[in-house]
Amino acid sequence: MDTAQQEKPAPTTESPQPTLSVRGLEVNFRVEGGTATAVGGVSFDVFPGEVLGIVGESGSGKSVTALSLLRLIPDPPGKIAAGEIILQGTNLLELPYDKMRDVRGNQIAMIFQEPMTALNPVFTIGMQVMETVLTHEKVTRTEARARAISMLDAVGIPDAAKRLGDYPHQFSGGMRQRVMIAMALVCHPTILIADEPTTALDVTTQAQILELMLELKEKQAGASIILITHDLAVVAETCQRVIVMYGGKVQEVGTVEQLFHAPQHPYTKGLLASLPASAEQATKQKRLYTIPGNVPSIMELPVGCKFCTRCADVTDRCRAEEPSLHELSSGQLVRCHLLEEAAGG
Amino acid sequence: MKPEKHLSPFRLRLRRFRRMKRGYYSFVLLIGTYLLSFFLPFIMSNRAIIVRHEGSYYFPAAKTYFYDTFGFGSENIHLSTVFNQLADDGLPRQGEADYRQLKRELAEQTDTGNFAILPPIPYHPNEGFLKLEGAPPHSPSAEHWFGTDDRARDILVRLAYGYRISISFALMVTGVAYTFGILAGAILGFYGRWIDIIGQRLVEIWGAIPFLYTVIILSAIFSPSFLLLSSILSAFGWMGITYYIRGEFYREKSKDYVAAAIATGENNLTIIVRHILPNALTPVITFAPFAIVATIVSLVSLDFLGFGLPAPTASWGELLKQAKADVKVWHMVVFPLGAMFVTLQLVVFIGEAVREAFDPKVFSRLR
Repeated sequence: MDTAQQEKPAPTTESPQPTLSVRGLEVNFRVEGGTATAVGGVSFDVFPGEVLGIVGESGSGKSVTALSLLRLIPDPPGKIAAGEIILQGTNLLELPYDKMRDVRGNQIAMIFQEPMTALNPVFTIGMQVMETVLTHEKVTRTEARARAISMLDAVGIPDAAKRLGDYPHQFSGGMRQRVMIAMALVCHPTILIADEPTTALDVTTQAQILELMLELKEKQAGASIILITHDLAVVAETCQRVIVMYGGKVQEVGTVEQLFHAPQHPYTKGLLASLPASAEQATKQKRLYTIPGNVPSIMELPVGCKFCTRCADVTDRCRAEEPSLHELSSGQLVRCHLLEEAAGG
Repeated sequence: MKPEKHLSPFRLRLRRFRRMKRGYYSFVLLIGTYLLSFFLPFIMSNRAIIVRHEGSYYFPAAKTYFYDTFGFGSENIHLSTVFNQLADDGLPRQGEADYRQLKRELAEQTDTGNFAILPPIPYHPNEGFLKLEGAPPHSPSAEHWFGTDDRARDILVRLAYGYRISISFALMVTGVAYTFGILAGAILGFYGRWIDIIGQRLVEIWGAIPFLYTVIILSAIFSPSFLLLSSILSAFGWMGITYYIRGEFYREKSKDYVAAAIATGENNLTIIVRHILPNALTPVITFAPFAIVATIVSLVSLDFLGFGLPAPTASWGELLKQAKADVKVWHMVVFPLGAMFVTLQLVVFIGEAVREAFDPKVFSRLR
């Protein structure tokens, strides 16, 4: 097992000071018959102003990673076993609970997947947006109300002042997701975690919501977005850098261009190959490619490379020994023995 | 139906409740009569509302009303000496004035301008009309519409006062028991884990204490009073609702809006009280009317068994006990049972309407 702490952060051409650094994050879940490692030593940085994508199949640990950033892992059964989450110099994992509450919603905010259940049905949307402000800032209700109105206006709710008194059931899914974004951004957080923000929406609404998120990010200098998704199209459209996760580990890190034009890890290649091709290619290629096999259960992760059970080029070394995350000449970080051997011998 | 703006789910349900005529009018009737019953000293009492005597005005009913109801005033001044009333033996009357007699006397003095206005039904619930012809219980008559009980007390008046006690008792017990049950259920459901496991076992142990024996033992040690009985019933009535609230909390806790509230940095108390509780109240609200019915019945049964409110408190159970002693006295069977039946039926109608108003099926697309 490699020591995640020694891993270098992703090289970048942007500002060298990351807003958020995650080092060797390990999250375990106590389940019947033992402990399951959902996230096994994940390290990455989030730089000011960037949109970082985290992609992976269901069960790859991407959502758990995101929830850990806010320490929202239900404990028990979950537990953040090791690692550091450093936000502007403070390790969030060492903060007392009260201080952690100040971070939530104020410095790191989160948008959830299901806009239908993520709003409390008994409160007006105005109340829910105001509540975030009232929790974190010493403002009067009138000021909070004004902030809520301008925020709802910014997320594109028409006639925001009037709709403030409406209840969630009077909104459509896309509108609710806009309200969620307003709730998340009303305190101007430095980092916005969006956990599959568009999965539950119509395709047309998806684009609008993504555009809105990017637009709002641009308005606030230094704010970053961590976008968690399994939709590669969303990643291609919005992200600058991408982390590919599999089996609770970072498998590949690179810029969006690198990932889509020169994927290195066999898993990333597989993911891209499983995308439906364009029309002219589709005539040549009859069946859509799928990666054979299934994501292994986190209870039965292989000893070596986490992808060895499904990799086409698997070797004995892959099965026995886990590769470390190493840098390629292109600047990409990859966790694969084959590429390491090819690069350095 | 055109959706109206600014209507919370609760208000929507309230509107549906109001549309259900039977339940809604039962509610209005019950609450109306209950509120009215607080003014019973002005409706059914042997004390005059206003007396004008020798140029002065007196308000005996109001005085005793505040004295009885709100505990104002330490002394209950007897006005019989002021009115120079004589007792049957010709000596000055002691104690409480006889306002019915006073009214007749003052009515004769047409020139002085003195008068007395009595409540429409000028009888006190504890007043025995032993001078009536025949032996008590007396059959219904023009003076006593529902007849009298075995101590010659007017049944209509006793039923009315008993109504106030029954409803007050039921509301208080249900209120206290539900508050406690909701609190316990919320804590168990929200925190879960060992708090839930231990808490539930404690609730089960508490629930295993036999209720009736406790009442009998406590009644033997302390003299039963309204407060004691309502405390006992509350103490034994809160367990059921914890299970529902606990379950609701478990369900609601896993929803994204709670996660969103946590992710916003709100504290546990705010999340429990402001976010989850309003969403978890549906079973409580739908059960409440039926809990009220159950409480009314248990007070009646306790009174019936003789472990209830002390004599001479006007109570329905005590009347039923008398009825049981002599079933042939029809008016003592029919009127108390009828009053109980009507009241309970009204509450059940309310309960039905509430349940229907809170039925989520109407909101769902699949039927």
